[in-house]
Amino acid sequence: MSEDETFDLPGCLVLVRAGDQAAARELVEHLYPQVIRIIRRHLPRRVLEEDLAQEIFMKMFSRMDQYNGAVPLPHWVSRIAVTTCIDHLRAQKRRPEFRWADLSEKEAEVLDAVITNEREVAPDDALEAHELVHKLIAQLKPEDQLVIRMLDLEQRTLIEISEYTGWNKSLVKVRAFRARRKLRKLFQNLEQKELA
Amino acid sequence: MKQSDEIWSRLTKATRQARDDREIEMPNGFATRLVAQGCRASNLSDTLWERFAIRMVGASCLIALLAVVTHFTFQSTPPAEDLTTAFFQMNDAASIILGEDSNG
Repeated sequence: MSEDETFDLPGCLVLVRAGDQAAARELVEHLYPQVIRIIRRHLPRRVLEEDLAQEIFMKMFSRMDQYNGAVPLPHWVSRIAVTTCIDHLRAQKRRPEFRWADLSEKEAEVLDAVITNEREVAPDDALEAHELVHKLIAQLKPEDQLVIRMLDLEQRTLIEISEYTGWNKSLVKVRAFRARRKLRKLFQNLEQKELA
Repeated sequence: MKQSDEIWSRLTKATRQARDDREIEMPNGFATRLVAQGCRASNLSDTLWERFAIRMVGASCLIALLAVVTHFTFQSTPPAEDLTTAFFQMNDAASIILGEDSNG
């Protein structure tokens, strides 16, 4: 039996609400991996994930009175984490235009190969493709970044994204559409510059 | 448009193959620090609220006292005995202009 299955979340929640510090520590320990995974999925590697995790947990404790049990606690916490990640992305300044010069030599090679050839990316280049994709996604609006990551990288369904973020399905679809349109534009610009 | 979608699809497929091998390990004392910080923040906000409330009690007492003092100050001014006396006590503007002594 895994730790997740044995952990008594409702019981722990009651104790946390009663001001039990040990229960609060247990809750943090239980939710920490989930929070870190969300941060890693949505933010670049250079971000100090510990600071952000701390911010998310502080928000969780300060809003604990607002939690009414309508959604499972992990979902509720994931929404807080997602919103915090979006705030963090908003705070970062985006480059006005995506340029070849923003890419490392290897990333530029991968992009060039993908644009000019119709082959799949070589397995050895997966890490560069990963960095490249994250740089391209970083050009989108924070909310659109989140949707496109979950759709195309994590391959989640619209319903899952909706549950995870608290946005309705139509809004998720609109954001995905907007993100894809922007990505197409980015590729067109890059292709034009490559040809020029 | 189709080509852009294909490029994106190939890139994301490759990205999914790149595994994130970073371990998820909570730093030592993270939960303890966090809970302690949360308690401190909560205590601080309570203390701030208490301080604010005490100051407000003080301020309202002061305002009430001022109101009482002002009220009695105005009441202690002696009223004119009657309207006729008050009328004759007033200086006549015409006599002042003519240089007459209104009291004489």
